[in-house]
Amino acid sequence: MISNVTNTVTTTRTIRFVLAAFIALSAFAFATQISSAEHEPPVSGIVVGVETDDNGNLTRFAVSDSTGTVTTFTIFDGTEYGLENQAGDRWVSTQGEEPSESARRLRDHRERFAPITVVFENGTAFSVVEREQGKLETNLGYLFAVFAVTWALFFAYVLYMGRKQRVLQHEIARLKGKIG
Amino acid sequence: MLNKVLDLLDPLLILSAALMGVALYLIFIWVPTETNQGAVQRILYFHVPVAWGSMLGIFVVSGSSFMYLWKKTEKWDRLAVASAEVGVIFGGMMLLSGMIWARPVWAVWWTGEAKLTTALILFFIYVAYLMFRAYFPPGAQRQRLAAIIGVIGAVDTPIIYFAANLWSQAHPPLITGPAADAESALGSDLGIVLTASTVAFTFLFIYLVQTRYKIRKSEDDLVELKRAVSTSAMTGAN
Amino acid sequence: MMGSLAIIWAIGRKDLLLEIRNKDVVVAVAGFALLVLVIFTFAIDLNQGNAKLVGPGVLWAGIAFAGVTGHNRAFALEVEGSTLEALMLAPISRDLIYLGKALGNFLFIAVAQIIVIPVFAVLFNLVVFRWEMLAIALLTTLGFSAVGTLFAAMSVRVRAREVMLPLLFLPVVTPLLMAAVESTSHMVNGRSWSDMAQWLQLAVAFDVAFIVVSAFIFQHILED
Repeated sequence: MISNVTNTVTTTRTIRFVLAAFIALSAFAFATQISSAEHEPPVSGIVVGVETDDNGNLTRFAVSDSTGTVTTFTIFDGTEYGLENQAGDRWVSTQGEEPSESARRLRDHRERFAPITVVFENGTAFSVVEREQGKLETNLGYLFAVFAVTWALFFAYVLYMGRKQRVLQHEIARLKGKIG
Repeated sequence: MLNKVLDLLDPLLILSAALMGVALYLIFIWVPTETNQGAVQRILYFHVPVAWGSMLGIFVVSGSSFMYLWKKTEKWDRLAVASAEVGVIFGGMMLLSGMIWARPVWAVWWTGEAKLTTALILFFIYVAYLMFRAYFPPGAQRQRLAAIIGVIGAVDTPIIYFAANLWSQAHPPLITGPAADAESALGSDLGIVLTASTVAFTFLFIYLVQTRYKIRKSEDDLVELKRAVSTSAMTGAN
Repeated sequence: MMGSLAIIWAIGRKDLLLEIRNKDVVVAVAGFALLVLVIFTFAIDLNQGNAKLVGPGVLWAGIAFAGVTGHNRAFALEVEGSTLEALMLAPISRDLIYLGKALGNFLFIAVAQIIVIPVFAVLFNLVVFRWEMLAIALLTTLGFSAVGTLFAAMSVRVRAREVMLPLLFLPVVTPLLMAAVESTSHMVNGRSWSDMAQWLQLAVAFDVAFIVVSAFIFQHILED
């Protein structure tokens, strides 16, 4: 009975190790697949040019980032917009749904020098959103709060278990010394 | 000292830490900011896996409680208490992260929505489960009664969800925020990050349950040892 | 079958006779529930405008809290008289003991409601003497006593019994409480059976599920 006590921890270690190695391998494969599908980094800056066709629909626009580099983006029906007017009302739509409104919104941003963020691939914009300069901080505050609070809870629990484990091991060792 | 290092080298711990690293990279660096909600949307990649973990906890508690009542073997009781504790921790994380997300997006900390109500009531049931164990004197009876609470919780879960659903139809949730009908604008990216994060948290869950299980085992060993010491002391006195 | 019913009735009747003699449980439940009602009339600044809105919730919250007290009291009496051990020695199947105890508790809370509901009607000025109310009250009380009896039997030997029972009881009966409040609210607003049908079905499902599961599981509580 007492000799069982010492090797309780190591009984299933080998099986677990094989399992863990297998899962680590599949996770690695998964991760490499992800990195091959990686996006180009998004561009943030102010709108410097908006081009429309004869119907007033947006065809291309240009953004100048903080270093002054100008990038021109083409668009497609699936391009998503999340842009605010001066009053802060957000307009959320896609190019296919409102092809001319996007041109109007971007011109409005150009006149106000309001910065935007563009996610793109091969020069085609996927999403064009308000750069959340002012709001970013408050929003990041919420994000920070989630991680701070929950990780604190998690670490408190791990510490609690660690302490419990140490006390138990100490006590077991003491009693064993008494017997042996 | 060597033992301490070996404890840290638990393969499950290393694996969950590595997966957590991958998940954090995906959440904060790889995935683009969502169009409708902005930065707070990233809370979702944390909230959903944690909610999944707490559901897993409830599932394991009820399953192993049922098995304990049937087989009456110690290991099912240990598994039940370990996953109840970890499940409640995950449940607490789920409630907190959900509330912090809801504040900027829905403009309220809490609403009477069905999933929220269900999660809160289940959280209370499993807190009561742990409190019952803490208050009751140790022994086979405590394990039996705790297992009964685990089974009752499982019976109650679908009824609670159904009731909360009916109830939230009677009281439309107060969703006034900017993203009242927010659809995800991320599509497949969201799926990838969510999957990776869920896998990472599942392994964290398994690691924590396993650690708690071992502690529970040590506690039983300690009781056994104490008994052995007292008998040897008695025979020594004779 | 007849034999089982006779045993259940014998256990229920035993509790009932004891109760008629000392009136411990019914007075505790009715007194507690009435106090909750009265305190709420001050706390929410009751008037004709909000009575229909808050009345059903106050009524059932009061009865739920009072029910906890009643179940605690009922099992405390068993422990004080060591009668639970005697019941366990009797050659009866455990599920019958459970059903007998639950029957007793059901009757106590039902009797207490005969006092509480008319007072509620007066304080909140609502029409409650309808068949709908009888159905709601019976279904809710049945569920309360099914869950309450099980948890009270479990909490008997817990250090902090008075704390433990509500912590276990209240979250588990929440769906039943929702059903009672919502269907009562339909009733005081003059709606018909069909409006509350879903809630009553839910209450029936809850009652059936918990009576069956509790009766089945009760053997594990009284096992030594």
